[in-house]
Amino acid sequence: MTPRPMVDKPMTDAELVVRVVAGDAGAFADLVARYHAACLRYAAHVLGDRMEAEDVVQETLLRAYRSLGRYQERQQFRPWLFRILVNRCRTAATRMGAQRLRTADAMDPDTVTARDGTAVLELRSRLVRAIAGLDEPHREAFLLKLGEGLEYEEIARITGASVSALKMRVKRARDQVRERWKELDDDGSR
Amino acid sequence: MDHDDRWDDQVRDAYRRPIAGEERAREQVIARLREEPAPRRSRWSGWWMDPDAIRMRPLLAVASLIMVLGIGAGAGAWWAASRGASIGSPRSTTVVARQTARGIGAFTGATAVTFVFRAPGASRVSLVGDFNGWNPEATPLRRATLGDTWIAEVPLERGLHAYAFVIDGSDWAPDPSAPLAAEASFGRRNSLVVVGEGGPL
Repeated sequence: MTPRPMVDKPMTDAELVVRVVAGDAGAFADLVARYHAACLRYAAHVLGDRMEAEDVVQETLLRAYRSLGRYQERQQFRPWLFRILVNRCRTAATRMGAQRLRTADAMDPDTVTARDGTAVLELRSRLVRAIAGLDEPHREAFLLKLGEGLEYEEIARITGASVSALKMRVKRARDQVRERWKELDDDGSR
Repeated sequence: MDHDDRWDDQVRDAYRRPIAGEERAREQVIARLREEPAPRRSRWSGWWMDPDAIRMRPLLAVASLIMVLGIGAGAGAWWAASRGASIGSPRSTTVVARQTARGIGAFTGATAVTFVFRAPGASRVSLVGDFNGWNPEATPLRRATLGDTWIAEVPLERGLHAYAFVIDGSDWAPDPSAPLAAEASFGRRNSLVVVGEGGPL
């Protein structure tokens, strides 16, 4: 492996991509470290199944790695990676069909053992149930905007939808999820 | 901050809580990626040459490997004979590596390859490589009667294979008696072995 320069500033995604394509395969591990958690939480919330999400994320990162030599948009690694992820999630959701599980237990069973396990599970459970009623385009837009905090232009590149359509989807999804969130909150406080 | 913003923050907080098992899943991805050739174009390809594993002219690389393994064969045969060790599968007929301070090398036959590794003080040793998905659980070595020596016999396809040993589940080490890949894969140097058709190279 070529030694990496000792610098205070972390390498940009683009710099890491260049290193990978130049033969430093280990640089991709840095990109995996940077984006694996975000990919996993997105897939887990969209699919509602953590194990399925892990498979989808692995497949996504493998596809990204294999395609990196042909990848030209080096300044835009995150939307490029998420475009692959969103497509893999869509395929997995179709495959799972009616078997899709949308409970926090199926998504994150180990969390109950965490020190603040009760609160974590409760919050996540509420979110998963609140977004369960959204159709796929609205759930994608909602999670990428409110969850990941991406710009609309980025989400447009990822999903293929226009910015105006996405703004409408996020607004509708937000209203719906908020309503459901409040119902769940009321149920929980009774 | 208005009520809407507070609700957005609450949702984002719930969404961004770490997913249990994320670190383990990430390690699995890294392990799976180790099987992959580096994503760069190369005009060199073929069973006898992994263009991503070593940065040499291919014919020179194969010639070098044959020479190194050939030297090792003599030393390994001498060592095996002198220690009276009974190592190797029925199909493994040729010793191709030499003894070193830590490793004794790889004995290759046409299809069965015997990996021998010396690891003083180890409680378990396993073999990882492109042939088993770099999975430390897949190919454990058995402790030989010689004590510090660990052995595994693995059927391999012909061609160039990268491999390493894992000591006590966490310490990765290349085979000191085999040639090293010129480039590290995910920060680790791996060893190389060539398996030919009908006999070792």
